[in-house]
Parts: sequence; structure tokens; C-alpha cells
Amino acid sequence: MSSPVTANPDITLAFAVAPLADGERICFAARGSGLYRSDDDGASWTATPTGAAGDITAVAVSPAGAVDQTLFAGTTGAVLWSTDLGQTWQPVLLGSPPPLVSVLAVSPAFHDDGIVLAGTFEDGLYRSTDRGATWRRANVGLLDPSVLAIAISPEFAADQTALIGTASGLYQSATGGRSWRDLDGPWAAPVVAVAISPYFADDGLLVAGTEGAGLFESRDGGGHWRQVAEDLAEADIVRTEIARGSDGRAEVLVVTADGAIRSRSGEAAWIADEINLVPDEVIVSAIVLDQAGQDRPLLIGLASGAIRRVVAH
Amino acid sequence: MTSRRTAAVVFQPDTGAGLQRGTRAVTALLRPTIGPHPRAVAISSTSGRAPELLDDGGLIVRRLIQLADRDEDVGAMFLRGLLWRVYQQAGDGVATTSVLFQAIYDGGLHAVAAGGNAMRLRHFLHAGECVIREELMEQTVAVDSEARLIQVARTVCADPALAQHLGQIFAVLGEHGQIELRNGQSRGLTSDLIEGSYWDAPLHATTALAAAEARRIELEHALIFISDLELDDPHELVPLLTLARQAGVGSLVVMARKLAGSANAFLNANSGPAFRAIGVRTPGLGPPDRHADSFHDLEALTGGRAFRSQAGDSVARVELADLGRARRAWVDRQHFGVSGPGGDAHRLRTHVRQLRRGHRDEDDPAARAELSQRIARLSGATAMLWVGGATTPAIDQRKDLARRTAAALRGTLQGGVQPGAGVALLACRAPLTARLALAVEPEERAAYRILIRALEEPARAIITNSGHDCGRILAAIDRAGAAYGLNAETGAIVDVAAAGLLDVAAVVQMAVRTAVEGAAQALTIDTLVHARQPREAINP
Repeated sequence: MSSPVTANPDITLAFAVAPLADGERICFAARGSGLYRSDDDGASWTATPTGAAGDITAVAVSPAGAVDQTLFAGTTGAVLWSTDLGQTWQPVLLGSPPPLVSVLAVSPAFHDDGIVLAGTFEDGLYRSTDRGATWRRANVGLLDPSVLAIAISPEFAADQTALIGTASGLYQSATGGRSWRDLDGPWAAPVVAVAISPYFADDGLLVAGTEGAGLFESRDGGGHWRQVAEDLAEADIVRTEIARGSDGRAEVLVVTADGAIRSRSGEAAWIADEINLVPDEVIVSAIVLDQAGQDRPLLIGLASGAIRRVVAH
Repeated sequence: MTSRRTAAVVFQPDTGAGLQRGTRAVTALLRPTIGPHPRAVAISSTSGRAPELLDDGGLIVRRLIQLADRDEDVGAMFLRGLLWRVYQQAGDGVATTSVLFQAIYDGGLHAVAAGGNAMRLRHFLHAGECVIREELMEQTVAVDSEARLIQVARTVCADPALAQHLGQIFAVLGEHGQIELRNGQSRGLTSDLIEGSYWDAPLHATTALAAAEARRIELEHALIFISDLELDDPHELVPLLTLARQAGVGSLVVMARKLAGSANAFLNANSGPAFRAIGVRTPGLGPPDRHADSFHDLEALTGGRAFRSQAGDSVARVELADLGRARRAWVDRQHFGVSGPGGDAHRLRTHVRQLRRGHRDEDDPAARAELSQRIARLSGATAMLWVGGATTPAIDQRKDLARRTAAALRGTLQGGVQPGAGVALLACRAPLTARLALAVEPEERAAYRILIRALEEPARAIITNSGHDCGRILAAIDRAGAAYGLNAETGAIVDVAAAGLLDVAAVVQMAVRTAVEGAAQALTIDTLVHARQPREAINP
């Protein structure tokens, strides 16, 4: 799998959404040309200088962003952190030789544990326990240094569970990201999207999307995996998220590179939705802006470099 | 007592009586060491030094050399051999094994003296052991938290600080985790994870290290030539250096069985600020020779191909694809390590899974330990623990305790835990009692009665060693229920699992198996043959 930054120098590699105290939100987009910010749900974007010389390849926001205003961005050899929602930045180097940060994830209990995870393409996983001030490689048990996706359990403070997708398969941690266990599964392709159910303690639901081999789920905490949404068996999965449903069941949402959206509640049938893409448009990144409610607005980044706001029903 | 210089043959009933006296002597030594309040055994010194005070069953057994009476000595050494095997394989459970053995052997001798057939009795003791094993497995639970691991460690080592460190370490490293122990600089303990994979592979020329400011050489973007070749001629290294220069890498590691001084000098001469070439010894060279295993691991980890002297490989035919890669490598006086290896992740994953399967299927403890080390090495599951103490002997003792506790924690993660304080064994009486009710043959009834009585011995020893009345406490335990036992620290009858009083399941199971099989075998010994001890030469 080639790094997306070489395929197109200015595509959106990752999104992050920072909720504000007044109910509004700020969106961030990590792109080859830098970090961008939108205050109107993606209708317009402005560049946010970070001081980094290279591409911004990852971005993540503290779950308490409305309060602590903490934001992280990844680049070659460093993680950048801001405590004023991107107005000023501090780089923290990750050592030599410099790895390329592929993905960032912040602990849901960040206010208490200060934990942030940074995946890289060459050096596995880095872990910070002091809100990003220092980083250390956390690769015990991780046999694949190419980290492509990270998901942290919504109940991380209690279950210490995280999931990472790599080029060769899936790994799970039950030690807060300090060590990893190889999950046995039908990984015929790189795992590029992962999600953990907010009801994980009860439903054991994990979802993993692959590049070209579709979607897989486990309902026993990662012990056994099966392919789901069979019509997506050869799809490139771009994003998968699991939200709390109004009926107390986990709602899974999946976005594919060719614009297909699938969602389902619990173990009900999959509901299909399609994004009306023009020919040759390919989705490379996506994020759900608002998981509550029936209509779920999405930001999608296209291979052409454009960003669109769409609605999934 | 006959002289040791006289050959002798001993028949029953002297055989059984002599063996029993010998095994009872060993068990009497070890019984006081069971429980959280162990008593010490003083071992006198022959060199005029102060006696050695030991409360660890394995170390006490190791000090046993010989009993004066030859018949007793046979019994003592027979039991010693069983206990030493338990100590080596499980790291703990020696005293428990001994008291179980003695109770079974004493009961068995009584049954045989009453007219029972020793071979039939042996058969039914084995059948009873199967019942116990099944019941113990029912009581086994997996350990799923750092807190539980710390509790288990405390049970094993009774050193709270050591238990805390080891519990935390193994919560991260997992069931195959390995610990390197070093002497600490202070009285306390410190620990840290060791990143990546490393082997015992010293530098061929420590002069390279002398030039380094730190104690080790750090390399980046390393190409690694993996071999067990003997490289005597510096010109043999030219293809490697050429490939490294063409690839534009920062460093080259030449792994070889032998690297002549001139070849080393050649590597040094070709090193500079932008490129470093060093030579390290092939890891795993014997005895025992395990470098083939090291090669498989290095190939899977770094993506290189090992050049084997037995296959007639020559460095002259090396190609770039044959060289392993790592983003970082390091070398010190004794070790060579890598992190950020460049091998194929799928291949490495498959290789580690094969090793894990091999570990699961392997019975030999030494082979299992070797596989664990390889899995830990490839998974980066190693930590360093610096052990401090007031004196060097105190540090050595604490390191030994750390080693055993680490083995116990590994066993815990692999096999789970059971209720401690002898409770798990007490619970095994019920299914044996059910079998006893259905048994008809005299030897079968005797076997179950012997085992039921023997299963109480560890709990009795804990109770007695804690200064409590055995009969009263056992009665209170029976009234409280199957999960209850004595908390020897507080004197209260508690739910032992809930109170964190846990035993490593593998240790208990090994203790039972060794005790039953050993005692059953000892009951079938009818004759002792004493060989004549040769005279010792004055000037050998």
C-alpha cells in the first residue's frame, strides 16, 4: 500500500472535530499542504499554521476539547500539540530516524490519564501519558510496524482496551496501549479502519475495515471474526464508526472509497445509502460530524483534493 | 548400620522402613517452610563461616547431600530428586509436594503392611490423581488483571515491592515475558522495558566499543549480514561494503562465527561519520548450539537470508536482498539488538504463531522455556529489573526470589490460578469421597482414603506453622464452605480467592502429580542394593 501523501500531495488524510462549549464545533483537516480549520461544518476552510515543514498526516482532538482546547497533529518525525485549538503549536520530536505519523487517537479519559496514541508507518506505535509532552514507543507484542488505524474503547478508563489496524492485520491491547496481542482473523488485506462499540463491555463488538477485502466484525471481544455486509466484500473501507443508538444498541456506520455507506443497528439488516459521486471520484477520508439523530452529516475527503459535506440517513 | 564400604542387599520390611525414615527426614525439613510464616533451616558451613539460613524449599533440597544411614539416604535422595524436578520446572511448590508425598507414602505403606497389593494400590492412586486433576482444573481461573498478578506475586515472594514491580511488568509483557536481572545501585528496585529484540552476540572487536562515548554503539538504517561463516580475509567483506554503499544505508552489521583481526580492522577503516560497519558474533553458538533457531528468528524479523557454512554459502555471492534490515540496531560488549525490523510482517506473524503452537504442544520444560525466550525476543517482551539490597548476598537472594516469582507469574499467565491456602486441594476431597462410596476393591478404597487424607496436609501445615489449632481451624473451614480457608496473616476464615490468596495452578498441579506418582512408585520398591563405596585416594 503506498502512502497517500505520495499519490496526491494535497488530499485530506484525516479529519477531527472539536466540540465547543456553546454546542458549535470546529472541524480540522490534515492535508499534504498543512492543517486546515472550518467553523461552518466544512463549507469553508482556512489554513492553520503549525510551524511544521512537511505534510500534516494526522489530527486528533481531546474529548474535552471544549474545556482543555487540546489538539494534536502528526507530521514526519514529530507530534504537534496545541492547547488553544490550533492557534499556537509545540512540536515534540519522536526520535531518529524520524517516522511518519499515520494516525492519532486520544484517550476518552484524557482529562485524567493524559494518554495519546500515535501510529506510524515505520515504527509502530508511540504512546504519551503526559498529554503529549513526551512520547515513547509501545510495541511489545506488535509484530507489524505499519500502523494504519487506531480505535480506543469509549470505556478506556475501565477496560484499557484499544485496537490498531496494520498492514498485516489487527492487534488489540488490554493494557492501555502498553502492549499488544495479535488477533487471529481472515486478514487478507491491510486493516485501515477500526472501531470499538460504546457498549463493548456487554456486546464485545469490534469492527475492522480493510483495503479491498471488505468489513469484518467480532462480537466476542476479538476472539472470532466474520465478514459482514457481504456486498462490500471487495470494498476499500475508508471509515467505520460505532455510536450509541437511541434504542441502546450499537449503531455501526461504514464509508467506502467508492461512496457506499452502510449502517445498521445491533444485528439488524444493513441499510444502504450511496453518496452521489461523479465518476473517478474516490473517498480517501471521512468523519461523522454528529452521531446523534437520524441524519448523520459527514465530511468526506476526495482523492481530487476536494472536501464535501454529505448526509447519511 | 552397615559400612558404606560393604555391598549390601536390603529386603522388606527393612526396605520400606528405611525409605520411609529417609523421606520423613526430608519432609520434616521442609514442612515448616510452608505458608506465609515460614521457619528457617540453618545450613552449617564447613569453612568456618556463619550458617546459611534458608526458608526456600528448593534451596534447602539443593543443600541436601547425604544422610548417614544408607537405607534412609536412598529414600531421602529419591524424594530429593522428585522435589528438585518440581523446583526446576515450576519454581515453587517443593514443600507442598513433599508433605503430599509423605502423607500418601505413609498411608500406602500402612495399606501394604495390612496385606494390600502395592501394584494394585499404585493403579488406583493414579486413578485418584486423575480425579484430583479434573477437580483442580475446574477451580482454575485465568488471571486477567495487573492487580491479580501482583497478588499472586505477593503470595510467591512475600516481598511487596518486588511483587509490585513484577506484577506490573508481566501485565505488560504477557505469558512469555522475560526478565533480565541486574544489581541495583541502591536498596530499592527499578525496572524498565527493553525495546526491540536482542541476542547474546558480542562484538568481535571491543576496540570499536572503546571509541564510543557510551557503553554501546547505536546504529540507524542498518543492513545486517546474517551468517555463521568464518571470515579471515578482509577482501571477503568487499561485496558487503559495496552493497551497503550502493544502498545508501547508514550502517552495516556483519554477523559471523569468526572475524579475523584484519577483517575487523578493515571494517573499522571503512567506517566514518556517515557510515558505520561493525562485526558481531553469531548468536546461539553452543554448547548447546542453537544458532539455527537464531537464524530462523533473524530471517523472519529482518527479512534477510542466513548464510550457513554447512550449506557451503559464500559471502562472495551475497546480494542486497539477502541482507536483513532494521531502522535501529545497537551493540554492546555482550549483545546485539534491533528495533524497527524490516522483515515481512506476515511472515513474522506466521513464524511467531508457529512458535506459540510449539510451546503449547511441548512437554519438555527446557524446550518450553527456550520457545518462550524466542517468542519474547521476537515480540519485544523483555524487561530489565535492577535489584537493590543492603548487601551483595541480600541482593543475590532477592534476585533469586525475583527469578522464581517471574517463573511463577509466567506459569500463572499460561495456566491460571486456583484458591490458595490449601483450599483447592481440600475441595478435591469431595469427588474422591464420591468415588470411595462406589469402590469395592480393597486397594481402591485404600487409595481414595489415602488421597483424601493427604489432600489435607498442605492446609494442616499452613495452619500449624501459623500457630493455630489444626483441628479447630479445619472444622471451621469445613463449616464455612468449599471456597473458604485460613488467612494465616489475620487468623480469619475467609473466601481465599476474594481475599487474594491464590496459588499458581501449574504449581499445584505439578505438586499433586509428582507426589502421587512418586509415592506410588516408591511403594513398589521392594529391594535396595547398596554398591560398595570405593576407597578415596589420598593423592588423586
